[in-house]
Amino acid sequence: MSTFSSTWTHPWMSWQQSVMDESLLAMRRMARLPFLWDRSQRVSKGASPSEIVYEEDRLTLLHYTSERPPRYRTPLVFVFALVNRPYILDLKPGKSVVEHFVKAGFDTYLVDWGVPQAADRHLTLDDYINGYMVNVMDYVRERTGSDQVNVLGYCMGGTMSAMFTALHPRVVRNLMLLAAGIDFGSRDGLLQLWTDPAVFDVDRFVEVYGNAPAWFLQSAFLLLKPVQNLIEKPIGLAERMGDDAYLDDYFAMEGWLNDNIPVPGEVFREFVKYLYQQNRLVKGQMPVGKHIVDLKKITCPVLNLMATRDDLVPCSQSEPFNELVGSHDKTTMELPAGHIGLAVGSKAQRELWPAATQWLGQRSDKAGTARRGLRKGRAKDS
Amino acid sequence: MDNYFDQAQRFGQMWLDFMMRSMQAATGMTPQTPPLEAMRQMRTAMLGAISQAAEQWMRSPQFLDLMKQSLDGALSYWQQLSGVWTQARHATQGVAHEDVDALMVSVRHLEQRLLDRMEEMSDRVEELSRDMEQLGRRLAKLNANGRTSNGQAHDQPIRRPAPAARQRKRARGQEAFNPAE
Repeated sequence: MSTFSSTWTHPWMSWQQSVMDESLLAMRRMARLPFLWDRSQRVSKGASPSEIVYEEDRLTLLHYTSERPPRYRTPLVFVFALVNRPYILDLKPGKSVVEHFVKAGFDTYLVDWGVPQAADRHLTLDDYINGYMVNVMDYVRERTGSDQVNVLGYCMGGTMSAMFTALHPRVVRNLMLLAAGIDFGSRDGLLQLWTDPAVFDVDRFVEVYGNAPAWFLQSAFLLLKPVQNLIEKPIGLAERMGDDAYLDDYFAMEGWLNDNIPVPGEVFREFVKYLYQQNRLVKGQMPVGKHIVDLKKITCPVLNLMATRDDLVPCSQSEPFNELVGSHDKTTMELPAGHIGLAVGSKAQRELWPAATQWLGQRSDKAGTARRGLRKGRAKDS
Repeated sequence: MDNYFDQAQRFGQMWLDFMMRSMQAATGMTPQTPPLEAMRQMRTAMLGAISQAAEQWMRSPQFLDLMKQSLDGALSYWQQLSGVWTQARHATQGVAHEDVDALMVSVRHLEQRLLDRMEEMSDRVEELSRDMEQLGRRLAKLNANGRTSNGQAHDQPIRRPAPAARQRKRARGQEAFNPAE
């Protein structure tokens, strides 16, 4: 009898105890609610020390300073997407891609495209790639005395970096793409379905709205994973409200996720029409101004970084890049992470970025070595 | 009618999926399993099933159609509102958004034309400087050929063809202009 009663009463007692403990914990968490708002406002944007070295229209170029001089002569320029702010690459200490490269000894720069206004709605990909990017790279080369630059492009910035490298192959020494969309032919991602011409009239959209509004892009991104974004995330916050480290990470990430910016109308139109709808880049028909982008003209070493659980830019969009370029030195690195996790996730910080900095270091010339590259004649004459 | 059956089938599939996941989560539990952990597992299973169903729904033709209709509706609404605002501003001799837009387009076209011309001129200058460089190299070569064995230049560095060669050239009408003759 006592065995029978203990079999039935013991689980019941432990359940009762757990429920009481959890209720007390929940009350303690709720007591922190009034302080959450203040905590969320104290999140800083960007972790590594930097200075603004170049400005053009809304664009600013940040240079990350370091106590030690750079180990490598060729500078590295980060090119981010136009849809979000770029400080995701330098979110906080320990979750910063920039930090890895600065510590590895690269002279690091980051392009901040700024926030487009209504007057910018007529800017095209040609303005960004053959205008702003050319000016930025020229400035960096002049400032550092290097003939070439290393380029790392993230997401839409990766697509733009690939086009820039194809149009100006002699400028780029090494090209790294991070979750960059190249081949939009598959239907793996929801965005490819939603931008189908039968569903989305991009011409009318740009005519009515001008720039693609930030709220529109934000809604589309949220809708890619509605349960995760609208239900699981708040539940996770409620359960871990007592964890300070979790709160810091949460507010840093949420602050960035909600910091969307509009995309210039014509760039948005070109991206949706020429890439998502017509997939012209892989067909060698992508127009950028008067030029046609030919990915075969990319002959520098390329590193293609992909996230296998990326819903925004599935692997099927990034994978074909290595087959389309004319480079002989092609490397792929995959990580089981999402689109943002590829940059700031713990696993990426531990495994991916040290490997990426090593890859780049092996293909970079150390500072103080003899000048090589385009200006052999000038070095000889002097 | 088929649409309703399809929707019912999808809902049934989602429910079945949820029940299966819940059963799988439940079989992993024992009387010693903390109750909250058990509830969390069930919640995870339920949300997973809903997430999958939501993804399937967002890929369906019905959802795409719905999305198109709502977007078209929003665009029509904004277009009408914008039209009303433009008319109101024009009626009061004011400047509307469309006028500024048209001005920006004109400025943009002007900018594009100027940039195209500058690019053309830059290409021509580059071409000219290449030709000049080539000419300079040829002159340098000719000067170098006109030097003596001890490095001293001739008084007349340009070599004239031999008389017989000149006669042949004259006969062919191909003699080059030579002011020394």
